[in-house]
Amino acid sequence: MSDNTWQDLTNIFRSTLDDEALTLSESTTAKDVSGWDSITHVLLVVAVEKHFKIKLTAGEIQKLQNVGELVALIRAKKSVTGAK
Amino acid sequence: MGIDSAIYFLLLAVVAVLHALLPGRRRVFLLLGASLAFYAATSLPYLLLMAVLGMTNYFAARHLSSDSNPKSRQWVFAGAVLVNLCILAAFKYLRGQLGHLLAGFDHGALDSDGVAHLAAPLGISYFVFAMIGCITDAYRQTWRLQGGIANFLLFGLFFPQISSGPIPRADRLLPQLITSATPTAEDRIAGLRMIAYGLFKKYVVANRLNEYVNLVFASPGEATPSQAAVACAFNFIQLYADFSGYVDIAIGSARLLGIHLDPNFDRPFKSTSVTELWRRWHMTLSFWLRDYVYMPMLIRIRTLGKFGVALALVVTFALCGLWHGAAWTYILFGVSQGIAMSMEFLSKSWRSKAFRGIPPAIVAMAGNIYTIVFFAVTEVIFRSSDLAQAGTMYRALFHWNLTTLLAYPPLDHYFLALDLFALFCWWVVRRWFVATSTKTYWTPWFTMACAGLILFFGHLGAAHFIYATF
Repeated sequence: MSDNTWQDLTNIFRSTLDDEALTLSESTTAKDVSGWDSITHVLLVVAVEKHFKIKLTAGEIQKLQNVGELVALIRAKKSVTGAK
Repeated sequence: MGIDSAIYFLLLAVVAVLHALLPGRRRVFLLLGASLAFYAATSLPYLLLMAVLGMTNYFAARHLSSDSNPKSRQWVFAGAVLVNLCILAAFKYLRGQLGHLLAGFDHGALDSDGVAHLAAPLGISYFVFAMIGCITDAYRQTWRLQGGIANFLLFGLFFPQISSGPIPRADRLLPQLITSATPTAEDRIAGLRMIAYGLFKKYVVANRLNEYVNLVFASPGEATPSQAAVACAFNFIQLYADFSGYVDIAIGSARLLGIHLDPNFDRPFKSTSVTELWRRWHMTLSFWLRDYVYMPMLIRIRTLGKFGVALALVVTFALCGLWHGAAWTYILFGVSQGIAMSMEFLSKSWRSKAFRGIPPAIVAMAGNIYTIVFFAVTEVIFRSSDLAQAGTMYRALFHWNLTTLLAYPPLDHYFLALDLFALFCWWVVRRWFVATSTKTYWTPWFTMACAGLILFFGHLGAAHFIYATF
């Protein structure tokens, strides 16, 4: 369910970056979020992969520009694996 | 030809004038010609080597920018990166062996000890990194090659930056070279003030402080703790003044030609952590390592979680150290930075809880002091000729007893007074420099003041910039 994706992702960001007040939008990038840097970026990806039970390739991870693209990628991967 | 020499500025002046007179399309040939001439002045055979290496990268980038099949892309990418790294490794780490091999040719001259001495091609470290960066971007399809071979070679050999960076990124520099816009009045003023400030930092601050540091490092066993501490602090400051001075001249020179190079320093003394420091110090190298070493590595070991992050940090910065040269001092310096950053990362949540009651300004100040002290102390290893010398310096720093404490007067009052005066001058000049960014009409006075200070208080000693040796 697409609604859950956004909420789940927000929760993942909040717990990984230790910021309960965090909110995300389609265009949010690392520049907009304090604590989201090259170090935490990969940890976010790991948490996302674990939670949504998907696997991203190195190329896909490196190409991500903003949260909107991440959500689209998650949905695409989930539909491929059939996971909900 | 160092970029602080008269002949360099003569070249720059001639190029700047011709650049303004030529139409846009011709400018690339002027700049390329000037860059080739600049390089040829250091070594013609090496220029040929760099040109061939540049062309190899050009064809690789062209292939990777086209819709080629995935298999051939992998081969071309791997091959190009390998060629670049082999040439870099040969000249940085196998110089002795290479020297023997080339002993028959001019560049393999034997010195008085009969040891083969081979100078590395100027800027090879920076050039190779710039090439690997754009090849990787093309392979990842985050960048496509534009412009012809002339623009591409200019991207690699651009004379203000070839000696010691900043390490350029193709997606930012190449379009500027292709467009070849006419420099604005703002560009020219900014360029002038940056060059003036850079020369000031090099001659009034860096060269002068260097004397004291050299003296203490020459015989660290005889230094008192206070002398060692002052040398430690001066080492850090003069390294910054020297390197950022060079960078200002490089960026300023490019500005005169309407080109914006990436910055290499952003007020590093403001840093409140070593992690932050490396986003403000030698930025183009640090970001290059992040994008082409750290991230690819971490992505592949990401299942190791936090331990993976720590490992990637230590390995990346060990490589950062190694990039400077094949010596344990450099590697240890790099590893120390990686360890500090790992500790900062691993302790992050603990620290935010532990320091919750303390005012953020105090926490920031403590972080700032820790960072500066850490970096000053680890720069001692970087500066030392070998681990033994570093060890002796550290013993001098930390060997406190009553007699050494009382032996306070560091070396020579007069000496130290001059150094402190140089630092005071810097404090004043820097405020003026920052002010001229908005009050641009002060630029001519600022430039003359810098020239005056260089003439009267400059130390024209050290003939080269520190980072030209890397």
